[in-house]
Amino acid sequence: MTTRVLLLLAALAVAGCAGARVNVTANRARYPLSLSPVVRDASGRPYDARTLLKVGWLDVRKTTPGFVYSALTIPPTRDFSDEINAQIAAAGGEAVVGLTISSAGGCGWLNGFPVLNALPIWPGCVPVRLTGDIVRRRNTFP
Amino acid sequence: MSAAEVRVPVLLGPVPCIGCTADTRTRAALPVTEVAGEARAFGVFLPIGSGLGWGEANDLGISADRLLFWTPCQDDIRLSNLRAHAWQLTVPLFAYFYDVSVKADAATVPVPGAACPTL
Repeated sequence: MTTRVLLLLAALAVAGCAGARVNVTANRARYPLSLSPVVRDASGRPYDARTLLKVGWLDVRKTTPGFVYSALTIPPTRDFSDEINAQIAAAGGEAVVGLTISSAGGCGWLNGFPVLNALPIWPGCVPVRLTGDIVRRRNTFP
Repeated sequence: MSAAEVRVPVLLGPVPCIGCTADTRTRAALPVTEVAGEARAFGVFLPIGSGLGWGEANDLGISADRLLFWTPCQDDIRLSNLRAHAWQLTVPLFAYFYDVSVKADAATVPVPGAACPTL
C-alpha cells in the first residue's frame, strides 16, 4: 500500500502538460474557400457537385510549436493563403469546396512526453491540416 | 471541422464567390455563433482494480453541420477567428488526458440577388 502511494506521489510530482494553440487565417486567399459543397459566382448563383468539376485536391499542413504549457505559441497566427493560392492555381481551379480543417495526429508524442513535459520550456505543438476539393465550373472548363 | 451537410457557402477567407475580389460583398453585423469540432480522450496506463488502461476520442462541440443547416439559402456564412488547439496532460505511468479542437465564429451574410440551389 505504501509503495503504491509513493508511486502515485512520484508520478504526480512529474506530471506535466504541453500543447499549443494557433489562430488560422487565409486572409490573402485569391479564391473562395467553402467548407460546404456549395460556392456562388458573382451573380449569386450557387454551384454544387452537379455544376462543379473537381480538378484537384487541396492539402496543406502546418505545425506550430508552443511553450509554457501551451500558453505561448510562436507564431500565434498561421496564414495558409500562399499554399492555398499555389495549389489552386496549379490545378487550374476557381474555388475550393468541402474544405475541412482538422487538428489531429503528429503531436501526441511531443505533447505527452513523460516527465519532460513538466518543464515549461518543453515544446508542445498543434498540427493544422486543411483539405478540400479544388473545383471549377463545368461550363467554363477550357 | 467541416460543413458537408450545409447547402449554402460556408466561407473562410476574404473572397466570397468565384470571380469576385476580396470583400466584394459587405459584411453585415449579424449575430455571431461559435462552431467547433473537438475530440477529448482520457486513458489510464496501469491496471487499476481489475481494469486495463483505455482511451477513446469522442466528437464534441457544436458542429457546423448541425448549427448552420437551416441557414436561409440566400445567405452565405462567413467564418472568422478560426483557431486550433492541441493539449495533453500526462501523469507518467498512470494516466493521460488530451484535448484537440478547432473552433470558429460564424456569421450569416445576406447576398443580394442570390439564388437558391435547385433540388
